[in-house]
Amino acid sequence: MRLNDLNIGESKIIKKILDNKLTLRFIEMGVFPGEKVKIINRNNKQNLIVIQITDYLLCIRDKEAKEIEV
Amino acid sequence: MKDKIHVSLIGNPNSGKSSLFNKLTRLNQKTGNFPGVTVEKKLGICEISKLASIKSIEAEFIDLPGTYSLNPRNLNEEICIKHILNNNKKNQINLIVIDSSNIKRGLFFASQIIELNAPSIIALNMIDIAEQEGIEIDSKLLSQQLKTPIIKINARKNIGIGNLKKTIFEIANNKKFKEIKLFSKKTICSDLKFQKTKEVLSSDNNQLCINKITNYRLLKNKSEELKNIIAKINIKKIEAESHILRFKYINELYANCVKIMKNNKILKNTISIDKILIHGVYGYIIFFFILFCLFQAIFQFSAYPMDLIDQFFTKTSMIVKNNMSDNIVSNILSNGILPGLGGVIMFVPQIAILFFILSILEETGYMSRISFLMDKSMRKIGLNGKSIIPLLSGFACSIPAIMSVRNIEDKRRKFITLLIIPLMSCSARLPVYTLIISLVIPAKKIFSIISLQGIVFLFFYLLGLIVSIFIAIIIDKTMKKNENENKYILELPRYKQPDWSSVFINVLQKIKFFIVDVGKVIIFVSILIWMICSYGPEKNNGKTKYFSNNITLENSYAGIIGKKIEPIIKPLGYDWKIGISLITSFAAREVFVSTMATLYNVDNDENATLMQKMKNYKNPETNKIYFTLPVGISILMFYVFALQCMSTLAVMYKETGSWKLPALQFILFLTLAYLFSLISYQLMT
Repeated sequence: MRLNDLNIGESKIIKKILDNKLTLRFIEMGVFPGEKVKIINRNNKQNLIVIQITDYLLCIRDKEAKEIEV
Repeated sequence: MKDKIHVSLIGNPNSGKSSLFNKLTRLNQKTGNFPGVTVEKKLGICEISKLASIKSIEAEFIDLPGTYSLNPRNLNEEICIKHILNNNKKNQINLIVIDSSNIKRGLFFASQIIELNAPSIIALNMIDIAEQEGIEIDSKLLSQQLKTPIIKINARKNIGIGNLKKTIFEIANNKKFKEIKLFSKKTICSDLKFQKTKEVLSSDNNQLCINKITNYRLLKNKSEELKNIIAKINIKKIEAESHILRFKYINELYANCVKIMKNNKILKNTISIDKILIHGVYGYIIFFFILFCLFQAIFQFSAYPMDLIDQFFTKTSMIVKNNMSDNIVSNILSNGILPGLGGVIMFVPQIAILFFILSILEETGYMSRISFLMDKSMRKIGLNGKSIIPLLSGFACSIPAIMSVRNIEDKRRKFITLLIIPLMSCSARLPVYTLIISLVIPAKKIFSIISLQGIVFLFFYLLGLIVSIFIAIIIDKTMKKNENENKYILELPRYKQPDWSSVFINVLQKIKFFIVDVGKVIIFVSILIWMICSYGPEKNNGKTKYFSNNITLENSYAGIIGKKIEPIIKPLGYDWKIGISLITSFAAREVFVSTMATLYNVDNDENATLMQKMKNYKNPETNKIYFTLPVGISILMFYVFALQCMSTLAVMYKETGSWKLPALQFILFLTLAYLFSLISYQLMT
């Protein structure tokens, strides 16, 4: 399952980051395999998803959420 | 002699770095830009001593832009990393600021900095919020593990600042610095090619070498040898490996030193507030309401103080004129320097209001939500979500608008935003629009409610906006794209009360920057304009006096230039009187009106207003009414586009650090103005 398939309120453990180019960025922001991630909000007009990682909120695009396997 | 130490404040965005910086340095600050880029550079001085002992040292703090790691993703981060990696100054200390309620990610970056070649101190900021959130940090254990002093602080409430200063003092006096290795990076460091780079860089510091390799393009001292080795190394692999190892190390550290007791209360509140503030419908309504208030505030609230400032300077120059003997000194003072100074201070209310509101939006965390709401729509036209604020402010005045571009992190979008700001119809165009529209457009009503003049007004406002969007799209399509820009990860910080002392210091610093740095250029140019308007050649008994002030505006150097350019502006339908006004209104667009008043001798004839005089003015060649619809529209077209404002050029020069962009804008917009006026005039006659 990919992160962008989840509904608002659902949470899962991150399994893998598929796109190698994104790995670095994600790690720096705390998005790392083994971490719990929760979908908080989405804005379909802007193709954006708000996620919660440990204790803070990040906003990423659908495109990037697709690269996160949960 | 005192030793001076240099302390760099480093940390994630929203870690409270600037609050701490403000608390440490108060008003002993100097803000400007990093050379060549519109990224804010803040320096501040603080005297540091140990318990009021005899010897105190001077510490210079630099507030670096917020960064998430040593791999830059935007201009702000690049500036920060460039500063850290190229720092060879003696007595250097890295002060790492971490948001305690967000400690894991903060530690990741901190661990990268600790391993570099300067002593570090960690300040665990916002310790009160962490406590409220039920986060317990064993700072002693953490300090041991990281081999770095850790101080718990609350910058907003001034808690722990004394302790922090004491630690800085101790480290500054401890001359020995030993490199710190936090965890072994065997896999990477055993790589033979990597060992070679260490030789070339003559450093035994693994972390420093990794960072110098991966950020090679940011280094000041580059060498061919290093470049050749780097070309053979798989940098991406090294980076990824070191990142994964580091993250595992931090995870362990976090598990040992941090306990979470309760659930996140403040975070939950933030999530509930966000349900409305970034909602697909309500979010936009609220955002546009905030924009409306912001615009009203800079447009309306600043009108009264600006009026007062204007009156004050006009009266003062009258007093000087009346009480001093008529010589060159009193002339320069009353006609050149004082009006110039007034012209600078005039912008202060708008700058103060805009930055007061912007600082609050930034401090509360709402600014990131604006990016969230607007980013995709603005991106389509080559701009950034945050560009909407400078662009909207541009409708009031370009000066504060240009200064507010600093908080856009992305280089190309920053450039495009800066470029198109002057096309927003600012309030200085209003008097020109009003005069010309009421002159050539009849005060008719369509369907007996909509004013025709109002529609024309709106048309010219929109024209600038639409053309600017076209320019933005064209430049976006032609400029080279950077691969990093397509990765979009944005943090939405927790909502917070603004730190009022930080807000006020911010506003004061902006005003200071404008008056001190930009003001100089504006005063210089306004004196120059005054000189060409009040001096001219005078022929007397066969002799020519080149600097006679016994002349009218028509015969001054400005008048001569205005007449000389008549052939160029004739196809636009302009005569030399408009030519002179175009030149004088370079000081500020509204000067067009007063110049016209002077040229039409309004002062001498109290029975006629400028409007009537212009209306009745007949073309001496054809003896027909001069200000016809085509002429009026042509003038309006010119004022929509031409960058007739030296203050805008001056602030653009100071913000970008060179005359390149202002020169480009001046020429580009002048060309546009000329073409639009030419086409409209020729089509209509």
